[in-house]
Amino acid sequence: MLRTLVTRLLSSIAVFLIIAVGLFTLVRLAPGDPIEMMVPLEVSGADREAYTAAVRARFGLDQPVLVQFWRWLGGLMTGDLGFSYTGGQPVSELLTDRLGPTALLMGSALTIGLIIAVPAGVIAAVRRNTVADYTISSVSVIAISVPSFFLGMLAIYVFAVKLRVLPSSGMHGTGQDGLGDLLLHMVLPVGLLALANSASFIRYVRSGVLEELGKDYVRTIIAKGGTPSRALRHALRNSLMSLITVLATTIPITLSGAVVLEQIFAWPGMGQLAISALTNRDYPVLIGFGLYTAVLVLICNLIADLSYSIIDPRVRTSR
Amino acid sequence: MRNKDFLPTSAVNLVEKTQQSSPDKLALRRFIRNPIAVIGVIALLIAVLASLLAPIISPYPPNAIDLAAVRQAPSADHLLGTDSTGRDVFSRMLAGGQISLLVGFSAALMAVAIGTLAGVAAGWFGGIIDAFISRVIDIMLSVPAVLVIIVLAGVIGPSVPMLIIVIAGLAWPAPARIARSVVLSLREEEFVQAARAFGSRTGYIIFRHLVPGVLPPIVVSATLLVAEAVLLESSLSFLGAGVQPPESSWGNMLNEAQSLTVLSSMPWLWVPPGLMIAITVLSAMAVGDGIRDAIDPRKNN
Repeated sequence: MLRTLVTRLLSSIAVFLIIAVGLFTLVRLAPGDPIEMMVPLEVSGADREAYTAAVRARFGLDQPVLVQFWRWLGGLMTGDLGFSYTGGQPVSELLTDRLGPTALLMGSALTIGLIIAVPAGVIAAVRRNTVADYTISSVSVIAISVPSFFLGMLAIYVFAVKLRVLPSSGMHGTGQDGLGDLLLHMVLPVGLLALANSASFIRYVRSGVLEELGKDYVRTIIAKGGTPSRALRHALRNSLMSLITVLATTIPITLSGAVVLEQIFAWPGMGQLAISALTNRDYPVLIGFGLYTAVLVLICNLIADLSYSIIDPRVRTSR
Repeated sequence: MRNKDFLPTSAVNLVEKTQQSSPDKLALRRFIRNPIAVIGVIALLIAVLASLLAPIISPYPPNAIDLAAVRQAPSADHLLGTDSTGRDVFSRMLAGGQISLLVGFSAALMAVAIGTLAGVAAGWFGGIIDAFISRVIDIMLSVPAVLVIIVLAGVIGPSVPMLIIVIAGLAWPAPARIARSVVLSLREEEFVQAARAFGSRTGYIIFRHLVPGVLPPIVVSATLLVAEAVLLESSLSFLGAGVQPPESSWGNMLNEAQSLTVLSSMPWLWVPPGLMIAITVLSAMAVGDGIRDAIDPRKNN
């Protein structure tokens, strides 16, 4: 177990370093020289060259690339991601400020998604090829196929414009910061993200339960006089274990969904920050966002791997 | 002259029936009997034809600005109305379909090509090659493509070729995993063992025996990838990291309609492109499911 943990951890760190090198190279390849932009326009001729050289030296850009990379990496380790081109604030601060709203959005959507998906998936599996199964399966296919931003705009049209029962954007109404107000603002974005999540979970739960129900031990339970609900309880337990792995690897994908929905509902999270950085070509913020995403992907993969070997002893011994 | 001319008619029918019953024809027949899959094929064909014929059937040039006809509701002149710079929404939707479908199909094709080769290589060679490819597949499956492209588009600038290459570069693990598992079982089959025993070259076995065996499930995966790529392209164009205006795509047409006034009072600007994305993605998924059920009838029961 400890050996698995250590090797996985080391390989994750290796992958992170590769991604870091990639992002570092990307910034170097990026069009436009940010240093040029920092030199005032009225400075010209030899003065301009000297000025530029001085700025370069100040940012350490006169050093060999390897030294630069080493310093940059050292900065990363201490949480220094540089400064935003547009606002001048530290990137790490900007991202941390936005972490809360995004985590709230994703966390509640994942929870609600699971609460919907597990019973729905079990019903679809147990009542296979009935109206209930077809309804659940078609709704989940539609939820996957219709783009979330289109659903979001439809939802705003219906609930905010026509019925006027829900707010269309933001986390709080003006001058309000109560919990009720926050919950009201959460309904649409969280609901849509949860719908998208549950749609993919339902497929896993359904096929997982179906697979388990076909196994020998289920037949044994029934043959020994066990009730179908008892058999289902065993099958459910076994199929839900693999869902944990699916859940862990779905979290980064959910972040994509959150980015899109944050944009539609003006939710002040990391996604909105990333999109405004995209429009303003704010490289440091984009790179910081990329690194955060990479860390999230690697941690989730690590959790998926480890949970697999904790849950299933066979995986543990085979490695 | 074939000997069926000498047989009684009932026997001729029998002969024709058995001749028709090759696995491919059986699969085709099962596919045609699946109404949802057939509707999906028809819808996709209409979308593809409309995009191909866009230069001919577009009533207006898609990027032509007409300030005398701004934000008009649908009429006989403008079937789906005009946007805030007077461009014809119907023409823009046809032009947008070209890009959306181009990205969808070419990214899916590239992903399938890479995925099949990687999966076959992993399954056939095994050992350290398999371990490496499988590990990459595991990690890549949870990489959020939208976020990667946002970062890339922000730093090197958004473009359609970048979109296709990056979507393909991130989507290949799905077909690769399928190809790998099929090859793992194929390599133990007797005809493959026989080919090895004859001393066939590895390249010959891979392209003559393995790739054809892998193709049916890969075709299913490819149609699902088309759906996924169209969806991705539209999300990215919606966010501003994909197709850039004035060029239209279904996704960026919705981006331009984000303000509350447009949303509430000019639904012709955003409902049609949104519906087109949904219909295209649903159709591609229906076709994929239809092919899967047709080639593997056991899954249906």
